[in-house]
Amino acid sequence: MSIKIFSIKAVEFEHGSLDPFGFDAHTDRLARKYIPFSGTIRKPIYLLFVSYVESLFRDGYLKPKSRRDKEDIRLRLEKLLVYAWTRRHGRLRSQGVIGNSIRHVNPFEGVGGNWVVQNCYRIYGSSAELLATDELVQAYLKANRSEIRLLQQFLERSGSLERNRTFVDDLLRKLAKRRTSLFCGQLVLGRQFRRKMLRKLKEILWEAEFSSQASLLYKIFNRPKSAPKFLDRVLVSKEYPFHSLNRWFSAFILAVEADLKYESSHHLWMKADALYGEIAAPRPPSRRPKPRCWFTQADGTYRKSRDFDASGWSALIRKAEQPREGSPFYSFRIFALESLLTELDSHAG
Amino acid sequence: MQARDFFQLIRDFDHSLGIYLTFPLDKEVVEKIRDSGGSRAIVLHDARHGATFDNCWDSRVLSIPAFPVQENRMNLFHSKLAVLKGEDQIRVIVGSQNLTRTSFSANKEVACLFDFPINSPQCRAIRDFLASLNCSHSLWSRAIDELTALGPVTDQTDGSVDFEFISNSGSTSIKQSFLQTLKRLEPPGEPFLHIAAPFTSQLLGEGFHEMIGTIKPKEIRLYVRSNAKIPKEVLTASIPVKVFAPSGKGRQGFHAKMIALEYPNEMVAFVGSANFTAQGFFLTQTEGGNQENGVVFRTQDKQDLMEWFDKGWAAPVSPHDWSPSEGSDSDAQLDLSPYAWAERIDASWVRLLIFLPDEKILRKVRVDGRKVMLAKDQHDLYSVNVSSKDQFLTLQISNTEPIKVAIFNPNQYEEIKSSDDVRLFSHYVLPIESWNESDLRIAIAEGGIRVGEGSDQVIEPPLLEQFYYNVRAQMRSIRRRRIPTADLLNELKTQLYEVGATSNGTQVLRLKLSQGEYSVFNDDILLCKFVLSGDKGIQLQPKQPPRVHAAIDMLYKSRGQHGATGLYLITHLVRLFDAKGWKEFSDICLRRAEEICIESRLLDFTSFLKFVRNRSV
Repeated sequence: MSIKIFSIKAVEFEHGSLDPFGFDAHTDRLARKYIPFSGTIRKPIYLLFVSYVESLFRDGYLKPKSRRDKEDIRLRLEKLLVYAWTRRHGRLRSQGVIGNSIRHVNPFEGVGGNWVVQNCYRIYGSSAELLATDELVQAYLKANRSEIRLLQQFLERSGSLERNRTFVDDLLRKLAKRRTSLFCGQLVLGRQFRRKMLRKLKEILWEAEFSSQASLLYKIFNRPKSAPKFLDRVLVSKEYPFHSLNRWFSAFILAVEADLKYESSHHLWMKADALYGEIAAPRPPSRRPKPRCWFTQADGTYRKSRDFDASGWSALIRKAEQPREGSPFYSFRIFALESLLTELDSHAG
Repeated sequence: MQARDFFQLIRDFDHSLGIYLTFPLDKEVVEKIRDSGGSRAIVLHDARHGATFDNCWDSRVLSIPAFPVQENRMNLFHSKLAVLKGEDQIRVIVGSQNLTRTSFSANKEVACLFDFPINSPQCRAIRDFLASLNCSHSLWSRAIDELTALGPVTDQTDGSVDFEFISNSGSTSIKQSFLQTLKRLEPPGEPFLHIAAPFTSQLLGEGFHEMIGTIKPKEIRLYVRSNAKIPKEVLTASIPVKVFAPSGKGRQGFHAKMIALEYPNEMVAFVGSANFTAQGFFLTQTEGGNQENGVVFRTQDKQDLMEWFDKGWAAPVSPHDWSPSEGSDSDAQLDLSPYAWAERIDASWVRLLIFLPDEKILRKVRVDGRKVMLAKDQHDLYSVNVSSKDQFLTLQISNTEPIKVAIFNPNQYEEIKSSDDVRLFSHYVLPIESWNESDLRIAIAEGGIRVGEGSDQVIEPPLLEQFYYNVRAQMRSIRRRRIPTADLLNELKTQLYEVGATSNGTQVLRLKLSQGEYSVFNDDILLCKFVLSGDKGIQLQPKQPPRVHAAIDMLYKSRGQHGATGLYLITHLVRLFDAKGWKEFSDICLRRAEEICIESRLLDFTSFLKFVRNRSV
């Protein structure tokens, strides 16, 4: 037995907990209605991967003994995917790969191993089936049925990567030969699957509220690289609720800040409430949202709580104080759709 | 001092139960603990500082409000501890960290980690401390029993490290426990006394003089927050005193609690939850002290600890020159906000426990849209039984937004617990994991056979192939077991009589085992040879006559003749138990193998023994 005395290392918490008034959640909900896929979806290959793994469970190819075993299998397959990429491409910065910061990935270890908490099943899980439909998964299965046996053999092994080095080298060599396999080491999805997915994306966007501006949609698909420019127009357009919502977010944040500083805030709250009345979104957030973190609320007044994050709050203030036309309070979400379009389209040919 | 990720330390230790003590708690941290593995978690927190959960992770997380053992209007449940129950060890993390976001994202905290064998004296000390806590929840006492259940056959003690787990009680303060341990350790000479604590109290009482009289320090070095007030006893002390305030990043969230005695060649240190206040360190709980705990240990590695005291502090000042900045100087001045916990009583009723700091809002509580009448439980805790068959309740307090409260189900918790129990032969959900013939047949019919790559090489009958895979899987599972217990031994005895039936006497196949190769004879005629090895499953030796299919089939098809498969399993078990040093286990296997050899006339036991012992594992 030995003593390990240590200081506690700072860790990052989920982004959601840095969203004191739930603005992220509201914009997400709204975006799902007006601009599908503007959330966090970036890498189409993950969408097919998540749906594929779930189908292996559903169809009885993978038979977990317990819930924990299922989680274990999922994580091991995700690690194998990332390991195949790193073997082929080395460092994977700016490629939208989850867990690329982990230096030593051991695909023979699932839950409890060295892996990020935010795995692809969490990020892509709820939305994967929208684009990676059952039809697409079946097409993939038809083309890669023989890889299932390799994956089953892989899952039967455990231990350290060093001990299984020969096995994993052999496995990846076999998988790399299958050009359309998810595990072949290619960072983009096979051409035939990309095309199917792009077709589905078009269908969904046309069916969404977003299609009221048909010309905008045509432009997006014709010039995917300019998609952010076109999509930004949605955020500032008064036809969509993002504009009014963003204006209320800014005013609300400034009013809370005045309360925190014990300054006169009456006129700021009046302004915020007036802007709240202008929100055209269905199911708008509460006029005085209950804080999720950083604050406590009593009698409609917000006060700092013990977990108050000064730097996080300053970032929100900076965004709220500099509202410019074309630079709304929340704009980052558009990037996801743009990235999805680019990755599906640029290689689709 | 090395910085370590608390959650990684939890992830790294495979455990079935985690017990966490904290003063306040945040939902995000409990979420992160859940993400860090472990089957179940029990969190004890101060009754005035809880959190409402909209998720209880299929009843895997139980949160219990706790009070100090000797309740007093002002004292707090201030313990901070994590105990993880592994298979043969427990991991203990003692320190200053609460289960709050700030503790793990912004604060300067210090903790110690120990891994103890289950049933070691240290483990028992921690179990006794947990058992002494003021917690009446029915699952709590069972969790404490579980901590030391399935322990090793013999106690293990480890005298290589001088340390003691300490806590306070109704009649003992942390100071008294600390000084008692110090007397036992008998460190030589007069030390420098380093006291690091974010909070101090202005009056420490006589205990401080007693402590100084026992330790006889050359100098006191006090490390406190810049808003801390220097205790009167320190100001009037006859010993030189230096006061340090944190500088740089650590200025905002200095929260570590450590007392270190620096001797010329070693250090003795206390790390734990207690601040250097009367309520934290000097008073017993009867006198109004908090519920606290910590560890005292002796170490020769001075450098690590001294590095922590040397870096991140502003230049020292004398206590008389110290001018505290403004701000709260106590943990106890945290905001009090309402929280709720819901627990299922039966299929239709749920008990809701609510903490309300303000009695004015007592009549403004709505559950699922209906007003409820709350009854006083303990102090500011109120409870009500409500009817619900759902997974959640919707709670609205006063005019705030309604919140979702997840309902904890003790029955579900118990089910998960029973599935966590350590077994030698795991109870698999799927029949395919069994080696019983009927199970194998069902498994193959339902899910097909699991074969290696190159299915064209697989030899019928599939049952043997499946059996081979299942034995391999079972061996992997047993290899992970680390403690031989009487329960596991009984389980082995039962299982061994499930395999290896006797011959029916009409047709006897004999088996010859040599260097991992199985030869099957009918009378003296060699029917086939095969090996079971590697990833390829069953491999027949080249150029076998066509009757081999029938021969292997016979090994299985006739219920009376599948003793060979029993011997195959037993071979692996014996080697595994021999490698682990579980002699009693391997002896039972050999006794059963002898019975099978005699009854089935497959081969003589001496040949079997030779085969088992000659081949390396």
